[in-house]
Amino acid sequence: MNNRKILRGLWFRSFFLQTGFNYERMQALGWCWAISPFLKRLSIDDKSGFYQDNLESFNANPYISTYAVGAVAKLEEEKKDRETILRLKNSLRGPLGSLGDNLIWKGVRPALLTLGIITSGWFGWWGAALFLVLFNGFQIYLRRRGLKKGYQLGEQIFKEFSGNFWRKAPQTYGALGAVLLGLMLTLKLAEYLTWGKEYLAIFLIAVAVSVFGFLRRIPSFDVFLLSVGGGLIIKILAGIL
Amino acid sequence: MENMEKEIVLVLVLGGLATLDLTEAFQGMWSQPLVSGPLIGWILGSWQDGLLIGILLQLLWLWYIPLGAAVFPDAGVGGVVGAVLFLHLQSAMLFDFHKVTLLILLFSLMVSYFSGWLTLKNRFWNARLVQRVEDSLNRGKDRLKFYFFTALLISFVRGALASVAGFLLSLLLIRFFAGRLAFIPDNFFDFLLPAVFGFGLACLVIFFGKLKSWYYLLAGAGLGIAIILI
Repeated sequence: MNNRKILRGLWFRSFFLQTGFNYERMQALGWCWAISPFLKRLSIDDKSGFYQDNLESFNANPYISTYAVGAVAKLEEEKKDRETILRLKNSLRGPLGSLGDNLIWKGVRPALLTLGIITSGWFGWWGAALFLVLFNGFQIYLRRRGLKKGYQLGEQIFKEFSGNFWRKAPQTYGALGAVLLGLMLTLKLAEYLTWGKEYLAIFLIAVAVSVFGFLRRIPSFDVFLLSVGGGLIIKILAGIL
Repeated sequence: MENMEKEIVLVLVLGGLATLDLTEAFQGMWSQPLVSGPLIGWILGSWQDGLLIGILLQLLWLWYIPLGAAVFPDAGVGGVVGAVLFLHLQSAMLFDFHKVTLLILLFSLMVSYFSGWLTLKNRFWNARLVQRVEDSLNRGKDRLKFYFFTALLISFVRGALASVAGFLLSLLLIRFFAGRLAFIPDNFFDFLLPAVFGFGLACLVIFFGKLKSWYYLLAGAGLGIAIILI
């Protein structure tokens, strides 16, 4: 099997890294299944030992776990000792978790969902399709990049995280999110202003109460009830006055 | 009745697949209500209605982020159940939009918490599967593939059953509460849309409303004004 084919297999299997997630070994089952094609490639005799090593606890953001998959694959290929491989795998957990969570969950996902919601208001289901295409385009690119860089750099993989991409990508999505927040806020303010003062007040109070609730770390279900309750109170007051 | 059967099959299949999409496999985000809503609407005959409930449900789940080991409400299952409930109730009874939609949002959230709790249980079952892979390796057998696909199947079945149970129970309770609230005119509940959009926008304020980004916020506001004027 050539390298390209092997990498493509690892890339595809990386989509299943979270399968069998548990609190003892985290992504171990998905990881072991993802890396298992390497058994054939490296003609490893000790199949049981290889599996046992790869069933060790591992956890990272699933979208960028391919950095670890690529780097470990490289080290396996270089026939590095088990300790070196496990050390690299463990030391990648922290950076891959925090960088990925910060980029995907706090940047890409909310920004693209907002874009989808706004464009759905103008173009119907095309907005939802736009979100789906942009998100998956980015995740496919990210997984491919992770695998390629991990495989190229091996033990030097940490260099990648101080590079341009990891500085600019969160900034770009943060900026996109801020622009969309400004846009949506303006459009909604204008819309509820035309509905009447009562609805504008409901909207503004829901924003204020929810921001306060989130900052105070109140469970989001309760925050939602508070914002709906605020609307109900204003409605009753408007009826009385 | 025929339509009800179709809806249950839809909830069963999409609920299971949505559970897989959220954590176990691909994570392509098709299970987000913004996407699953119009998809379900299209299958049941009105993508516009599906999109409407999808957007509202999505605003509720903007805040949730499935970080690593954290247990979170299952937006996929909640979204599927909410969208099918909306389309079902719209065609099956006298439909008070604001009242019924409020009830759907509340019950979808509850279903998503229930499914999130099942996710927690599922993770303990998964630990046993990994243990079994190791045990079989110690006996000289390679059962990795078998237990890997078993884990996928368990998650699918868990999501599918939680969705159907959530759908049927919510349907029953929404009908009950909507009947009890029938004496209140629907326009009393028309605070729903501003409140839900306010909640959703607050999530975005937390994510992106940083002082250092003020010029991007202003640019967005300027764009908004330009769009309104045009």
